[in-house]
Amino acid sequence: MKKVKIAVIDCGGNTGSIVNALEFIGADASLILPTDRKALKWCDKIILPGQGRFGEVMRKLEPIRSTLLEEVRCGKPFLGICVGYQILFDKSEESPGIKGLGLIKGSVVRFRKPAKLPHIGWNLLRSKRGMSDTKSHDVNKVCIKGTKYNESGKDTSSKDTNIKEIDNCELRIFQRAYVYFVHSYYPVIQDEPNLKEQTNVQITWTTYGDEFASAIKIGNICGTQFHPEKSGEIGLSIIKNWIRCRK
Amino acid sequence: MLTKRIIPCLDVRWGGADGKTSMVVKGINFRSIHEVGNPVKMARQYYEQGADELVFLDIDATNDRRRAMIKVISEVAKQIFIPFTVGGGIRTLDDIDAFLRAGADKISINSAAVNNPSLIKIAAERYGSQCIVIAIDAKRKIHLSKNAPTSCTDSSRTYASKLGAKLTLDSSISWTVSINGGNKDTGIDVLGWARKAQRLGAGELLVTSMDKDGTSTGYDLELLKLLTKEVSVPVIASGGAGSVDDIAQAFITGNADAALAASIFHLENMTVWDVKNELIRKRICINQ
Repeated sequence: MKKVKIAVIDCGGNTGSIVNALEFIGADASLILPTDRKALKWCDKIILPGQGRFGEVMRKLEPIRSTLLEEVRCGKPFLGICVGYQILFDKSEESPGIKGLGLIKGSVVRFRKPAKLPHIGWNLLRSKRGMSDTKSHDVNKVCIKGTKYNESGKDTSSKDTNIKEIDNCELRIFQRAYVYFVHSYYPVIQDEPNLKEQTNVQITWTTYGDEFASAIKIGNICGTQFHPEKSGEIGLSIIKNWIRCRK
Repeated sequence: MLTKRIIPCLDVRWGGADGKTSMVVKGINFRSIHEVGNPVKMARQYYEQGADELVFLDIDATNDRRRAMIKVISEVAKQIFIPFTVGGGIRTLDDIDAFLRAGADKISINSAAVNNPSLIKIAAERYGSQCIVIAIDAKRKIHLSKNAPTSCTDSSRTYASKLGAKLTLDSSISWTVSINGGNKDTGIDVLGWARKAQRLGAGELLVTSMDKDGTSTGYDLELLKLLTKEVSVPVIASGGAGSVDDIAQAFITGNADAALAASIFHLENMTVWDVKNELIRKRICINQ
């Protein structure tokens, strides 16, 4: 299989983490500046890692905004992480008056219920709304497709660069996995029941006071509120899975 | 549900036979320090054992006025895929930037934040609060009653901590902030400083009890209990963990969000898995 070229848009912050993770799993990734339209066109897949405020990231993306939208609308796989996920929506309470990319209808809001913010730490992904968080132990290992674990629980297929291409990566197989979050805002999907009807839509849910969509995949557009690059072996599997899927 | 976090801590300084090798060290009450191993190897090992995060502190940096070991940090960052906090000798935004570029996710600031609180605000504005961990070295001040032997007031820390365990919560206990690796007591009240740090934009507080550090006699639960009531940002308990029960108490009694430990992993021959499994048995919500 030809190695997919991944462009990681550098909007400041710790882009090192995602690059380290991509290098570790043997992906061909390069950091690009948010002015580099050529690189966006050239690459096979785009990652926008997140750190910083909604408005700040949108301001930095301004020079490539139209190119980015064009590429993603034409079907190029896009993965947005944390604030990179939030900017897929229309707007955010964090930066009133600033427009997001508007690729997914909805708006980003601040947590209402929890006393402690930001939401920092490991929390659970679920495939359905309103499901209980209990009986969660012992499940994350068995629900990961395509990864082999040795006795220590370590993913032994990490360096496998010969990964087979698959048609559509499934977020759902990571249900009931613990992943790492750091955020005070989360997106609310507009017209969610309608969206869920579509066949190419996958959503995972997480509860921290409020229940929110912790990851979404709509066709070639993928976003995670959590940090897969900081979620241990499960996170690496999610990234690997995203890399090898065609869309 | 959000899980409680278990965070192994690597205190690192230059050492080894040639004095030029980075070494993980462990001290008692911030003193009598000895070497325990290679930081990159130990970091990877704790990652594989299921650590929720890792903290790397360059304990020489503040006093020696030199930056922590960027190269060692980036080597560690290439090996672990969990949140990675780096601290030690951070004074300016350039320092923060250099550490983030080396692969750190969060920056722990201690002395510089006390000397220049506006650094917290500027750093939080630039990198986001989630990135800024304010480390507080807390020292107990015990205002003894007239019946207590006066000779024991300040000279014996172990005595103070023993006594502290028996004291009830009243105005006679307070904690002050120490800086420069515990060398300078600023006299600033810990609870007041914690509130101020949060207001300025700190995303988390890493609170080390100097009296308990390295003693394996348990965290300073009174401090944790008061502090977690005082602030709404997550509090990481540090200093004193000697057993799984100590960690459980930090969560149950101290209401801490995360527990930092060093000796229990470096010296007690317990893996992170062992600790987590025991905590799960104690019905504490842990990411297995």
